[in-house]
Amino acid sequence: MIRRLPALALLWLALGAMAALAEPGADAACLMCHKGVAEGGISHSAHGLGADPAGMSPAVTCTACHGPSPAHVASPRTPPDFTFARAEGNGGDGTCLACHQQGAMAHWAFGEHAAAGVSCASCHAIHTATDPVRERGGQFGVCTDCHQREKADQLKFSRHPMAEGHVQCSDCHAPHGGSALNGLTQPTVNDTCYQCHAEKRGPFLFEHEPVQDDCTHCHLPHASVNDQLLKAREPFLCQQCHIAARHPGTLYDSARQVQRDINIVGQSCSNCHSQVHGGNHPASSTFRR
Amino acid sequence: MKPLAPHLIALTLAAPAWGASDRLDGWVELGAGVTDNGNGRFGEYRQPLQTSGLFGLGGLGLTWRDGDDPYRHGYLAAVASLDQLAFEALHARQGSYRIGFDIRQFEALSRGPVSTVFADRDGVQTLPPGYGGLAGAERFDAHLGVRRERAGLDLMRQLGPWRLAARLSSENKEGGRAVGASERFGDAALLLAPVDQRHDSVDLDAAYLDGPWSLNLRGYHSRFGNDSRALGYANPVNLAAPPRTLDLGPDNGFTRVGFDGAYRFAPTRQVSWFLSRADARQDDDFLQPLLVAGQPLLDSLDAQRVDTDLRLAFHDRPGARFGYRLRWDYRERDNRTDRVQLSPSGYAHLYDSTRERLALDADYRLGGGWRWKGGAELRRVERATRALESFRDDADDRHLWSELRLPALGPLDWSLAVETTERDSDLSTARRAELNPAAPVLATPDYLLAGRNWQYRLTADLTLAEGLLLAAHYRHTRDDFRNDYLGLHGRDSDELSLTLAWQARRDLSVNAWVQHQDFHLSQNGFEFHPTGARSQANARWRQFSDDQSRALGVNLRWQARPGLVASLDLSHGENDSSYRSRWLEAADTGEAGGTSDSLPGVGVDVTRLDASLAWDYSARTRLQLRYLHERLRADDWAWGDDLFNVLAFGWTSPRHDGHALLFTLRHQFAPAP
Repeated sequence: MIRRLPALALLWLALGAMAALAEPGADAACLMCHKGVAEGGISHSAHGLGADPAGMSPAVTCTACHGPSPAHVASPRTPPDFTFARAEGNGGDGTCLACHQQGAMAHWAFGEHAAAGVSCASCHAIHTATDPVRERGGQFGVCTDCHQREKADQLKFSRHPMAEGHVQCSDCHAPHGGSALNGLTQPTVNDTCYQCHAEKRGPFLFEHEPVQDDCTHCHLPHASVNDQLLKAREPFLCQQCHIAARHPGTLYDSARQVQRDINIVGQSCSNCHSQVHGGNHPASSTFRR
Repeated sequence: MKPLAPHLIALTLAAPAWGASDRLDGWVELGAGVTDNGNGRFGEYRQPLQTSGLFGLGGLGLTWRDGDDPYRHGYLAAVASLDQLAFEALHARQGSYRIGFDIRQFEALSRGPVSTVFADRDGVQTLPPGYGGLAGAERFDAHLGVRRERAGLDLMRQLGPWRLAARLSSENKEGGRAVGASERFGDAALLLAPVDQRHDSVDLDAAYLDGPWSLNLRGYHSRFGNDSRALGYANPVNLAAPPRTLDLGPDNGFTRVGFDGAYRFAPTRQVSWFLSRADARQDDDFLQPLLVAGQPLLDSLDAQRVDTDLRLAFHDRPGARFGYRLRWDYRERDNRTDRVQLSPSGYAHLYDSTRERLALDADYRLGGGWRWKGGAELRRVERATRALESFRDDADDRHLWSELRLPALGPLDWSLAVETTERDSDLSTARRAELNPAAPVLATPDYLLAGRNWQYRLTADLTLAEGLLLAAHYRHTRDDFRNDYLGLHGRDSDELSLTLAWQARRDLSVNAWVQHQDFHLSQNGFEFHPTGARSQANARWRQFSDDQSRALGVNLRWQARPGLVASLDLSHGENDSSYRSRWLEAADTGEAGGTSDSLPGVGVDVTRLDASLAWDYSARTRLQLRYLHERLRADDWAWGDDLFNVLAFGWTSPRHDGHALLFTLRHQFAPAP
């Protein structure tokens, strides 16, 4: 009998746990073992609230996501009915989408992340009080776990301040998919940029075609080895198009650099043509004032 | 700008009183930091808002949950950190309503201190009395940078299948930026222009979800106001020039109404759409007095643009192995501004465009670890310009891509991808005339240039041992433009990244990464000087740009013993640019031959270190010591203190060493009984 005590004790625990699982506050049974999860923060988050007394939200319990898992309760070495870590690709997303289905989530299943096998749990921390990817200071670290280039970009000369969280990835990109092009939050690249750079939105009386067409004709969105996130250095960037007589067509070589020619030092072309994003002044026909 | 701190304190104290049965927990953080910054600078963005050597750090966070209804909760936090001041407040009931407010302040510096000839740098910049030119002129130190203050109010209400949400945002920008001004060729100067802008926006969203329907009605309105609309100045280089005024940007407004949604025929079959119409307007009046004497004054310099977007997509996954997506997009940019004449030779220059795209992509799991994804896309863009003349240029892109994931080779997972875009353009007569080899005006822009782009990618994940993973990514991109004469000639880039993730022990993890990027570009020009006044009259040239970027980093987290965690984040980047050129002979298209020249290289090295030691003094109290370092060395021939003698603006390449040592104590409140 004494030798059977451990087994009986386990049986008693399992029965108690299964009885607890049948109750609305089913998490209590899980927390008998997974106490650290609660202390780690889930009890402070929306996923640790249990049943909604007003009945407005579905009950969020451990079993709501992981299934009733009687085998796991009886034998902790047996995994729960469902674990996100073991789900292949987007296998776990259905559980999340059962509740999170409004707004952008309508596009999730067909978005770029889902197509690449990135699941909800790849980015979101469920068992913690705060989810780093939803925190201004934490999102960059989560996204750059995969998007390594953007991490290295923060060491370039000009950059958007993403590492500090002053600009977040989700300020421009819709990670859950959407109808906009290129996974952006706004219908176009320019509309996305104008969210912060509204002074360049215009419309102006003198429009500079490439500027109005797409900011990325001249700028790199994340960072650049050149100043002002430019794809190439002035005057060479401007000379990709402007090649007219006299100074636009001049080859700016070392002799002119030594002479401190104003067309190549300082802001180069922008020393004079400062209104390249568009202007209204009569002199803005050449974007000068 | 009004100081933010008093507002934060007032808002914090105005937090609602909590009920006795409610649960309240939170944290408080106090500390101090010291930095060696002599000029208020520590990096580009992470400089202390407090510019003195010693400064305080602090934070307070309170989380409240209703004892009777745990779905009702509130949150309130105020933070004064190294690089920003922030306050957040939230009151919500999960799935029912949310009211949130946040305000932040941070600053970006631009390249360190500068000097200018202007002592007074407000609305009108006048030269000091007795100013006789740049030689021997007195220098006045100035500060380039913009401080931003952002505030937002979030509202949400769930009413059955409806969710109504609003986001009101406001941003103030204040500071100064460098802006160029010139009278004519050869007398440009850089001025320090004040920045005093405000941008307010409201985002409204009514979402409906019921059964297979998901509908969103969206509205967005944004208003940009510039309190520094114009900058008057006297030209410090050309003393004979009359006082002039720079346009620093008019006020503008933007309104968009959109309707998007989806209908789900089945869990794996859905049609979705997006329709929107946007109206952008500017309201400019300050330039009226500047119009040329003798020209009739215009009633208005207003401008208007209407953007229309239509999108339709069909997604289907008929089986577990196969899925496809069909998309059609249309966008019209309709500039409705009058083609006004602003000067004897100056007509408004207005731009319109329409874009259309049809795309089909699919994925198929072949079994045995094989998986294929691919697609095709047709794009057509029509761009029209209205100025003295009107003309239209069209470009057609055909894009194909394919990605193959191969079966694992033991511990190696890998995939290959290739994509190509072929562009044909139909240029207007006016555009082609500008390419006249005898007297060129404009080369063909990148987006109208016919040619082909190729891109190849290789991705591999190799498990070296348990807990040790090596990930590699390589990408090569190449543009072959059908353009030998003027403008862009060729472009290619290579990118390689390696990441090593090592979970050495349960308490020690190391992540190391290396990234290398190479970017090459060549372009042709034509030095057109029929009089032969310059060294190479009517001669062609080719210029080569080579940009390189190398970066590496190590992240380490070590739990030395329970309650003691050390972490380190060290990264280093080196960026180099070089520029070569050579004169081309008449029929020369190659790289060899001709007189060649090189500009000095441009280099920027950045090293950043963020090391911290956190000790849990008790279950609720943590002490943290953190050290931050940034070393930046930029060497750029375009800048230098001698620019003061050329552009009236002394502005050197940035070089700085920033050190900051921070100590904080964080205490977690116990939940209320």
